Amino acid sequence: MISRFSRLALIARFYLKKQFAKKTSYFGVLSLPIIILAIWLFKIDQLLGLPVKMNYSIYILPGLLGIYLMGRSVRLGFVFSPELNRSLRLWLTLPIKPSELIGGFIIGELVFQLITIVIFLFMLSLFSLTTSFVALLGILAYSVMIALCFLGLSVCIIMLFDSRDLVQIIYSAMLSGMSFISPAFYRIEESPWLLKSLISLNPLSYGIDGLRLFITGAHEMNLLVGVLYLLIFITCAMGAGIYLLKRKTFFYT
Amino acid sequence: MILMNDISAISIKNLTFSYNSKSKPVLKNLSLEIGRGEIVGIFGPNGSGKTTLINIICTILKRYDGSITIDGHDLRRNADYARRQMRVLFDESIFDYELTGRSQLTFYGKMYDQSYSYDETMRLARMLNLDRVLDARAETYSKGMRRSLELVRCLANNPRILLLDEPTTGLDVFMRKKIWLLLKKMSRDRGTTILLVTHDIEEARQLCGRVALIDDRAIREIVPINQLRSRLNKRFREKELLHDDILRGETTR
Repeated sequence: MISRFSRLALIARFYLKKQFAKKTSYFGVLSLPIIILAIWLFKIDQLLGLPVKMNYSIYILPGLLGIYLMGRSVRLGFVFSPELNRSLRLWLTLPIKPSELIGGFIIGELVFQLITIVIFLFMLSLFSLTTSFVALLGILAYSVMIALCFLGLSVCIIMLFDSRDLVQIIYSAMLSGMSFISPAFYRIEESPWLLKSLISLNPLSYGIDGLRLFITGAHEMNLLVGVLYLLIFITCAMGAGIYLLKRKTFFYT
Repeated sequence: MILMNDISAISIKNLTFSYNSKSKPVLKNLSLEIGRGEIVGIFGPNGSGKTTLINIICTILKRYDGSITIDGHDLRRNADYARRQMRVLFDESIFDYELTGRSQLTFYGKMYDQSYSYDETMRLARMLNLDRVLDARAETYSKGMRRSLELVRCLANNPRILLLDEPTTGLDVFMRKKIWLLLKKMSRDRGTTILLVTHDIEEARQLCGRVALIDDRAIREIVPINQLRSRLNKRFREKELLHDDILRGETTR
């Protein structure tokens, strides 16, 4: 038997090959850099008529990265949809554990996302933002935490609902809802109390807040609480995803 | 002391399965013993549960009553052992069309890794006339080529047990004969056990020693291959034609 590590690496490599075999994946990598380039080119602060000191473009950069990572990560769930992935039937007969199957795909997806993160980091210089080595590590750590939260959550959702259409509706609602209930585009302090409490339940909020700290040097939420919340969320989502994959019966008649 | 030779390669006892608790069982009290190196055919009308049986043995469908053992290992308790021994050829293509044949054969070969040999895989691919197209995306393959690619995946690297669901569907007559010869050689020389689902009497005649006739959710009888045609004719007259006014006249001619 090959080692667990080799199996994870093989699955991750296979997932990446599969991703890059599709032309649409290149747009997936470049979508965030294109948006950021547009923000820089059109100088969004001037369009909004905001005073220069507020610099809204820089304020929303961490939010955009967080939303991109969330959007990419929920797509992983579709790998476990029999309607969308014909090879799932074969993967379920391979001598590998559910945790290895999910783990391999997650590693592949993280590598995919890393390409966009690296481009994003280079693009920070457009806004005259410099990042230290520690800040770089911080951005990577928060990016991975955001990705893991939603990778786990997407697997759970696809395991609970068999209908592809229903899952697509849930994913869309989740993406728009969680983006709105987060400090991606506005400050938490100035939002109403109900929104404030909803923001504190959303793992994306803590992710964006952490990214904002390492990108712009400012943040609004308690960092320790944020990291703990994210880690607990990741553990629960991943654990539930693996458990549900073990229990799930995929029907092929 | 129990010798390995005394244990059936596949042993199914009183297998009952339904897709949910409210529906009628798809299989009811099905029992079958298959010895090492034996080729057993499964014959039955459409919707009689043949593919469901394959899906249960290859561990995709998990919630069943009764017992199944592979080399004496209980399938529920030791699914990993069974998965390492088995290769499954499904009734439809499960390969990713975006990827090349070579990358998929290498990936799946390594995932099993009993004694993965790239050379042997390529030798089989050459034998099935795939060597010139292995570096092309599978989406450019004809239906027969896709079937051949699936067969290479299944037959490479000495599997102990093969579950084949209509293996030669879509293949030309020369390729069919080649596959039959190969399967017979594997069974004779390497002791590979084969469970073959087929609708083709000629295929069963060429390969199988015994054939299990599935009908109405259970195995009705297990007949030696030389009696298959007469038994099928008898059952056809009894069960199908006598209830069909249009065809009834044809049987008396």
